[in-house]
Amino acid sequence: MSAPQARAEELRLRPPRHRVERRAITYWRLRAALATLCTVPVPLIAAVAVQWFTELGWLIALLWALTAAVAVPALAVLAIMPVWRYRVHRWETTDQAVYTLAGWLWQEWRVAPMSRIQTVDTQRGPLQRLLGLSTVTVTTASAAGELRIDGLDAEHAARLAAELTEVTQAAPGDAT
Amino acid sequence: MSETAPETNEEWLRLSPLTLLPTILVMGAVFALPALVAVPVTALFGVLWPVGVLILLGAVLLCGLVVGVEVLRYRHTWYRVTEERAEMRSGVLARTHLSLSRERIRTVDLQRPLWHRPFGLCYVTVGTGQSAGSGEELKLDPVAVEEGERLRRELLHRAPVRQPDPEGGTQQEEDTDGPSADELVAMRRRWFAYGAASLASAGVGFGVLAAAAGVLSDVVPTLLGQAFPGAADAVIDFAAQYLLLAVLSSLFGAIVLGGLFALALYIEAWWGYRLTREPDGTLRVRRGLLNVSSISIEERRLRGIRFMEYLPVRWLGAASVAAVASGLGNTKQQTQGVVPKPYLTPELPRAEAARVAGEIMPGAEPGPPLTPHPRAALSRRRFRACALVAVLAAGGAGLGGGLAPVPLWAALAPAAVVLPLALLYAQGAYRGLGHRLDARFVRLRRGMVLRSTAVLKREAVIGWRVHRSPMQRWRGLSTLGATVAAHKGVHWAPDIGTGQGLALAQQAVPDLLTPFLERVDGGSAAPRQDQDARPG
Repeated sequence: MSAPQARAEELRLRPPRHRVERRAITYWRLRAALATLCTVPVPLIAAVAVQWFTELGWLIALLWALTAAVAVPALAVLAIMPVWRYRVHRWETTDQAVYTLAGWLWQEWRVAPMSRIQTVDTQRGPLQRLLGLSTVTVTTASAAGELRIDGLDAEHAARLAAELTEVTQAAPGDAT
Repeated sequence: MSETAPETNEEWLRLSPLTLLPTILVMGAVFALPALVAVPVTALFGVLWPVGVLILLGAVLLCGLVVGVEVLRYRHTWYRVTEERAEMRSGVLARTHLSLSRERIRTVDLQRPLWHRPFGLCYVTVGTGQSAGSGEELKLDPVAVEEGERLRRELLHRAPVRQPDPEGGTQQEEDTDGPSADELVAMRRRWFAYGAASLASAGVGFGVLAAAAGVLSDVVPTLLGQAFPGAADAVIDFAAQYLLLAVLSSLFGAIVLGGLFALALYIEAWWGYRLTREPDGTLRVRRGLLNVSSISIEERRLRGIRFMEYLPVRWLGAASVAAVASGLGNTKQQTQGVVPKPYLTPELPRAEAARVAGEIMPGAEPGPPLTPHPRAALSRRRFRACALVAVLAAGGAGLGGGLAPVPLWAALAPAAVVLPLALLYAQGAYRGLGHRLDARFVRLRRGMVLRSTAVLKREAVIGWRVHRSPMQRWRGLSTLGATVAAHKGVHWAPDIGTGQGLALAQQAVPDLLTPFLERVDGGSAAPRQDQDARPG
């Protein structure tokens, strides 16, 4: 059993060096807005319809409560999440490894060594294309070991992917 | 490879000429026999024409159709193994040509279901470990057992195998060994007893029981009621009078029956079990009574093992070992019947399981106790237990309050009963958490019912993930994940102290995390000597 460690000696992960693009805030906001538009109207329409056409007081109250229960968190997320994500999401590549931090409430740091990287892809969904953004995905031999960097500028992402591909092809090591 | 028509190319091999026999056997048992029984019965009842004749015609047509399809399949299936590839051409209407690079072949499994056994046949599945269905798996059904063994040796071994052929007398034997295969463990009869309590077989066993009970509960009472008219009422009266006795005895009967089913399944799965280390560098698991299967795992694909101490067999002092390896297929492919592919051993007495773990990977057997996680992890689990009980109590209060004619105290009783159990569960879950670093391995343990220790080779860890929820951040915890190139890509250490976990990760794989770590007071994290890194 290890001895109790002095607080000052305790380790923590420093944030990766680079931020993503500011435009990513808009991207995340648009995504959250779409999600809200898909979920909130359902109980809302049900509540309105039931209110117009029936007199079932308890059902009306239940449906409005449900609508509030869905709408309030959705709107809160829409307002708070994008900026929070922008402040958290970071990425960094060194000669030896790729390092990312993602999330907002739940946060996850991921590290993978260059010698174990198998593929480097870029992806652009329709929203991302609208904003000139791109996602870089780095996969390793582990199915659960992939790293994603969302919200990079498209050209920058293409350059990063090309650089990483070059480095990983040059690095020795068995990628399996 | 030049694309020549199979018929003219000498290298291409066919399936076994005995292909039709298992099919005929199965058709005979499933269709022909019942038809042959039914026809005289219809004659007895005087409806030989048209019912009996229709049945006969139907059976003949079905058998003929199936046999015909099998003949076509046999005539249009060819396979060959060259220096670089394993190929198969098949298909009557839609011709497919499946070609696997030998470098990517990870598994060669031999299965011998009951209907293949009398003819000395087996079916071979050659896989790359990727998801099947996208042309990543080659199935040869059936080939002779010797041919299956030859394919297994050739495909799993990169260099040609310099082995004398097995003596003629052993050709017909099941599962021939190479001359110097090293047996690690073989089944002993008394270990079958664990099967009644083993979770996987128990799950299926009780499921079968429940299904059977559902079916029989309709049929049996009506039949019995017709046979013994007064008995049904008498039984119901008796049960109503001695309700508790009736409930308890039915429960007991269900448990016993379910346990027997589970035991039967387990015996079928693990009969004749042997784990051997073959001279070509693979570990081979052989087991099975009705469906004999042989699963080979290359040792160089072995990233580690999992030492599993599942309830309830853990209370009986048993444990088992599973492989953490690449190329065992994704989760869908993995479950063959009751036993998933990565399982290397059945439930063994713990000391025996530890010994086998050490034989598979020297140093991997359980040793000194693992370092516990911070107490905050315990309070998190206790909190969840209380939250669950609170939900139960709220539901009970709702019921007692007016939705159902149940007094309040009775509605809250379940919550009161569950509370101490939930707290005990939380305690057990906390005690299941632990980690340790040896000279060669990283050990991460978790779980209460499904308690398992992942013993990973340090060089097999190819990345780290550190996950933190807001609650964990508040308590100074995080969840550390080690990624490995195996089907279960990441192994977690939940609720480890943040600093504790990072120190573990830093020492386990030097130089990977170090550039990104800093000390809490702002200094850089130079590599530290830690008393955990004792030689294993």
